[in-house]
Amino acid sequence: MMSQERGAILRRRTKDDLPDETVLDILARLPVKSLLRFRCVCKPWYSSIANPNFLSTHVPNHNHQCGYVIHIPRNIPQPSSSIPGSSRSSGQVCTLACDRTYETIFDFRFPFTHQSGFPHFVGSCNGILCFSYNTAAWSNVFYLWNPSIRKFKRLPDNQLPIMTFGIGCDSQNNDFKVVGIPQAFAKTKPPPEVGVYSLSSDSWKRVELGIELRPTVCYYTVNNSTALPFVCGHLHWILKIVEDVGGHARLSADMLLSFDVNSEKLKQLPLPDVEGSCFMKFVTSLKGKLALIEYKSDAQPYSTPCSIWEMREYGVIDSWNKLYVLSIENLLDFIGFTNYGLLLVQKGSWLVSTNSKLEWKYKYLLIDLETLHEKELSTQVNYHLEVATYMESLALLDGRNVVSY
Amino acid sequence: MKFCAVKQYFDDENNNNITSGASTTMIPLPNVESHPLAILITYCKKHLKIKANNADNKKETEKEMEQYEQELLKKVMPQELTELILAANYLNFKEALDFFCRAVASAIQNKSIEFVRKFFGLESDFELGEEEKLREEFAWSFEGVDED
Repeated sequence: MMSQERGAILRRRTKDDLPDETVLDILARLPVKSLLRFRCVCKPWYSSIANPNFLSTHVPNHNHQCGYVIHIPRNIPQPSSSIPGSSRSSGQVCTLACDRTYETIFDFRFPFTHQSGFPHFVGSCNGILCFSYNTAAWSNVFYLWNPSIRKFKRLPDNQLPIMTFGIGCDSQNNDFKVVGIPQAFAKTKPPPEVGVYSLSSDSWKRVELGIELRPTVCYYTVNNSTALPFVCGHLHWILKIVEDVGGHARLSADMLLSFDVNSEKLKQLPLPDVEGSCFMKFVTSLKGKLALIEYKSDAQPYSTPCSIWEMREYGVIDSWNKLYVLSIENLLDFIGFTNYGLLLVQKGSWLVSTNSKLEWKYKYLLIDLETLHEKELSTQVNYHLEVATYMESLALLDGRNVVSY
Repeated sequence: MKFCAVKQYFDDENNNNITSGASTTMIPLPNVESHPLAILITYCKKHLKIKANNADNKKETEKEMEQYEQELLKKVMPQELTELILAANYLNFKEALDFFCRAVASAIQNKSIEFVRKFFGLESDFELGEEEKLREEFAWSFEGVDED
């Protein structure tokens, strides 16, 4: 990789000039805004910065000590019409915040809109945010967006059925992929297929599911609370499988699927021995590892018992480790884990407002699972949030149909 | 021995069975000026000292090193950084090389293209109009740049 650039970075090779590797080392530490500007320094710099291999070595020098998160609103239609940003996607923003303190840094305005109004957050990977809109024809329109370099791309249309999608990156080929599996499957329909979009080929294709489902399986559903976790090069889903077990009896069980973004193969991963099928489950990522959260809603009034597991060694059968067991009061929804391992949740409760009316208020709390200390965020939002790790990257710098704004 | 090039010299000497009193050996370093060498030696000694003081505490070591590095940067002109990098590179002194690369990145990140060209001794080789087009494409990245 480097040998292709040797001699191409600096045109004068005197003993006083820095060697190529060193110049690339320096460039790799620059923030994207500087890199975009320095493309104009000279042709060799232009081609080095555009090189996909450089993209993967780029680690900007963070001047701040915190990582960044981006808050993305998921709008819920409100009965009253004057909630800001509730129904106009052109007014929608993502908020960039410091991961440790959640202080807002600034807002990114969505550079794209769609007549259906609400973008659904699919996931984030290496600086790219992926959103989809449900169109009237029951299919999805996708956008990939890199806010740090102000570029986005609408993906080509696909004829896929309704699916649960996630985004991951194939680091071996410097490629990003958007992958979906059918949200529901019934025995009588044709065998389910996985839909895969690859940025490098800018096209969708269908891939066999490749998972053997027993003939007694009637149907499955997929339901994930948060964006699908991309861990160790794999995307993950949990299926709830319902089987006929004789007579009119049916049994439901959970299956964890993992999709290798590089080889495009799907396989089943073991789940830990769990509380029981009446517990809801979903997977997410916790400090780079695959995590499982299981919880029982409606167990007691306003209190949700839950367990959090972590897969210590990826793919290893016995490495599921139960980390925490706790009960969360007034829980509405799980949002996800921060880089430091705090759990962000949404709670809701009725509060008496200043004019003595009962109002429903959302609040967002960070729970420290070691101490069970809860910290309320001061985010002034009254709708559901998604949270994703934000990073600067040069992804989408060049490519077909990429739009600058 | 942090100066890997120098260590290599000693290793080679041992291999050749030349007896040498380490304290009196003169090692030729034709590619390093005395000024950057002095800075590198000080940096190296300081690094080893801090490491020894905080034997088990990696975080303390990092913190103290950072403070020392900030102080050092105040005394070094940006133009001297190139010499320091070349010296550290020649001596194969990885930690210093890493630090000075970070320092250069920090020094140039908000500078104009003209400044960067001068710093690295580069010239524009774009065709007429090409550079303008590129500037337009990411016009926003030129906002807020330091004045030369």
